[in-house]
Amino acid sequence: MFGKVLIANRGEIAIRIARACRELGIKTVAVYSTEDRDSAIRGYADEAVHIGPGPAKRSYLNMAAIIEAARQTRADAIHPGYGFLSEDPDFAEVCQANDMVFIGPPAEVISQLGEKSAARMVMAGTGLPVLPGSRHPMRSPEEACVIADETGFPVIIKAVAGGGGRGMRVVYDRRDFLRDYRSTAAEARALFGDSRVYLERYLPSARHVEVQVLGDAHGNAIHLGLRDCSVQRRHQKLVEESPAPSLPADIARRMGEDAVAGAKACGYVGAGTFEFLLDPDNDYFFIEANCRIQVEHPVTEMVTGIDLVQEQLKIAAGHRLGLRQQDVASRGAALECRINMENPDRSFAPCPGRIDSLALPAGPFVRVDTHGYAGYRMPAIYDSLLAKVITWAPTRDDAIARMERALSEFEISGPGISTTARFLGRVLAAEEFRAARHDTGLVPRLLGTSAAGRPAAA
Amino acid sequence: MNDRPDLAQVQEHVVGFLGKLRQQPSSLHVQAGDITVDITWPADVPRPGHHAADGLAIDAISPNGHARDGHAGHESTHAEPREYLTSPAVGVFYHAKEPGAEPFVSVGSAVEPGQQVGIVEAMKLMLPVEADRAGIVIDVLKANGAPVEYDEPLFALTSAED
Repeated sequence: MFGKVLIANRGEIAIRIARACRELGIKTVAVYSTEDRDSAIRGYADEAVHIGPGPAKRSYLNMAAIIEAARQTRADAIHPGYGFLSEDPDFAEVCQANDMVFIGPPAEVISQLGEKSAARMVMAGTGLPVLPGSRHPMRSPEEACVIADETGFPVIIKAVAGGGGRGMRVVYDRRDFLRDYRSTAAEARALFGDSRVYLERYLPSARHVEVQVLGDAHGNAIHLGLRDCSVQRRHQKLVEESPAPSLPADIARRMGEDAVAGAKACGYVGAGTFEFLLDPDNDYFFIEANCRIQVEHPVTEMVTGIDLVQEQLKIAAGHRLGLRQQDVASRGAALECRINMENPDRSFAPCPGRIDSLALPAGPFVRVDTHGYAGYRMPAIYDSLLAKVITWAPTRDDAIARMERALSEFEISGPGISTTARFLGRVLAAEEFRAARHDTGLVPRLLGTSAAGRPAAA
Repeated sequence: MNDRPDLAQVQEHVVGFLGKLRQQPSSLHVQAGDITVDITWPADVPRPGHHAADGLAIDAISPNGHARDGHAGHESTHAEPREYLTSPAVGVFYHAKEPGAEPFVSVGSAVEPGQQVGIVEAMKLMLPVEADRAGIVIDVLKANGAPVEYDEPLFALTSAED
């Protein structure tokens, strides 16, 4: 096992990773930007290195600074967390070239799956169902028009290099297609430095269901069940749960098996996620694979009892998976609510600032992953995620009741501060959520807008 | 912190000492443990006798004589804070262009904004460290070949003001 791991991330996930390391007796190195000099991870980790100024490009995305920090502190491995460099194949390669283990899949696998249009075709070749759409990135607006007509409207245009719910647009009417095609390509270039886009049929009513997989470097792969992440606002997840509720057992089993087949086909190593859309007839379609630990990984941990970050560390150290598929059992139900520093009354505008007081939920079967503390000043230039509240109970209804109790214990104050906590309560109270009849349109319906940001009547 | 000499006492002596100088030095470095007093005079100012010069800076008074992170001088009523040239990147700090060469600057050197004062090597890239202000180098805080973090102080300078 590694002696020392550098954590190339910030916020709650940096602490989550450091905790797994401490449990395994691994020393940790935190890196931080000038903006994060008061962050909790600086005190939690065994060592900390100041790697650059606030803007991520010069700190958390600065490969040279991170590699140098790892070299100075003699770290054996680098855990990238999520976001930042976690799915950058160049970074995986640079780590390897500097004799450091990148805790994630091999660079070639990240490249292959990161190119979303190519990943779709690889998985289709493995037998996974995919939505009708383009077979490769579109080469011209004319070609795109032809493919859109063949696919049938509505369609969704997506950036090949996209991620984090950005760089995609739904087109309902073919008259809008060319305009939306051009603006999505322009946005993709601005966000990801790659203007290539592809398209798929858009499902107006769908659930977002994903499969957690683990693969080792010896060709073994298993899945740890499903997560339903249908509660989304503009493709940003707000509430996640495991197992996926009211899904027939045979469908869930087939999705799990398909994800494992996909993981084996591409030589997946580490923890990863295969995302699917599920239509009202319970037909499912592969949309993309994520080569990282996910924000919502705790719900899987709660129902399976498996520590995913510890598994990532063991796999990266070359261990064989200690579990076979038949050893994995899901028990009860777990929910996660993301508390963001955003104002739901002002279209979820981020509202960073100083936290004067903070009371976090606790008590039976409640887990809180956060980097927040009273006195902490939440920087404006990073993600607005403040805390993840996770609850477990033997049944989904009880897990929801427990989550309502947990959220009622959450209190925060500070100048100009507002969070999504109360809005999350509205989601939990929604009848369609309770009945598990909801789809990705739930949040827009609660807010009185459609999924694509149009009035609901349109 | 525990072995720090009585600050008030040292300060009193230093203030008394400065009062006896005809002109003020550009920096005064006091080590109270085994009693060391370093005085730096601005190079371009004539030195009447052996005590003279314009400008004043008292370094932090601490047992090891090394002040860090801009806390320097805050405890002294007469002092201006010393200023620092800091590292532009995480990496390895070098004083000179190549092994054996003359260092870019040393204690007593006058630096101008934009002047190269060192090198930080990050992943085999040699990044020049350039002064972002003018002043006289009064301390070299990092050894040649030492690992440095982003924004870590490398040189202490006198304040260029006055």
